[in-house]
Amino acid sequence: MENVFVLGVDKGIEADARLERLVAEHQTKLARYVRRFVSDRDLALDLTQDVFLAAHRMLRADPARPLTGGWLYKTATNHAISYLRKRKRRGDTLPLEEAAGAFRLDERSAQDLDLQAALGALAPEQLACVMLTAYAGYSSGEAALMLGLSPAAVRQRVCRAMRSLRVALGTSA
Amino acid sequence: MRAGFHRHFEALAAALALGEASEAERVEFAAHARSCAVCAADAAHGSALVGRLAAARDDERWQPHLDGDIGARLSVHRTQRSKQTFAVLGYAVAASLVVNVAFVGGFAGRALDALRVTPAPEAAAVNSLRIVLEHRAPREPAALALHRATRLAPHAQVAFRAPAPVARREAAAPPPAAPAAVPVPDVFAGIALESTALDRSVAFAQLCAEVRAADRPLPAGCDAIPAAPAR
Repeated sequence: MENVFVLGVDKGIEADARLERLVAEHQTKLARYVRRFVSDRDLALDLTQDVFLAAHRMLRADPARPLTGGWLYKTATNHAISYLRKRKRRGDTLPLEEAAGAFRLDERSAQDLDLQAALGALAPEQLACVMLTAYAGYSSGEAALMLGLSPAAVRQRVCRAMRSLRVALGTSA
Repeated sequence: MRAGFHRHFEALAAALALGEASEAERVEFAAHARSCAVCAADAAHGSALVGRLAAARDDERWQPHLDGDIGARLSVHRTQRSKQTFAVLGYAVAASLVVNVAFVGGFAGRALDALRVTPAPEAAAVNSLRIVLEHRAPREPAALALHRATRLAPHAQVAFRAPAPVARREAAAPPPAAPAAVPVPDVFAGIALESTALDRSVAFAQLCAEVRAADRPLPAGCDAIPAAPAR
């Protein structure tokens, strides 16, 4: 019984240490990535924390389990898509927190706001493919593994998402 | 067929935009793009959009800080998990208790059913005693007094018919005047019959038999003389 307890403490300490390393390494990129999905910083922080909590649960169960950045991006994408689908079912509108202060932004921020609005108009499945490939830099094969699709399906969704983005942003994009 | 053919070139256009297309795929797409304006536009603007998204990622100025929040969330999460664990344990114990009680109770009930003794014939005969609620005038004032003394809520109006002046001995005192309508529950009438009136009805029948044997005329109000009940 004592050995089990000590083993549990050790596993907990090791899991916490690995989680701290994961948070320090990926938190900024992951939160920015999630914000592109949900268009809200606080919400992006909440979802990112949920991703790290899921990682912590997995590490508590098996501290030796390899958790890469790809797993974090995959989990973050699934969390963000789930949130977008729930929001669509509820009929909520896109927050776009920056829209209220758009008049104070410079031209680069305004372009970024346009891009954010165009991304928010995409279907969640297309958005996931575009974000994993064009934004996060994964190949279509890696994105297919993360999303459970074929590489050809990921590429088709990327192409159709690009078409929608081109219409939303204008041909100058 | 046409749609599948076009989806193939959509995938190739995306591969070109993402920089993943092989040389053979580039040649194949270039041959198709010369005759398809949509795919040519996809390929032309796809690379620019990918570059714009990459630039948006690199130019991001938001610096999120999760360190403190993650620690707080984890502590809250652990507390919630421990509470949930205890709650689940409590529910499991309660559910097992309910199941055990129901299981044991079911078996105990079946065992009692199996051990239940059949009522004795005497008790069965008593239970099957036929109760007649009519023609039972309150000849026994004490019984009525007992009915009133119990003060149970009357739920029926039992009309007592005036006693028929049949076969009364001349010396017998006139029967007491029965109330026109006395609220007496049915169950009391039955109890009174069961306790006292049975013997009296037998005596009345015997008296009627004597009248019949003497061949005297029936008094007014007496339609028929019942036969003596078998005892």
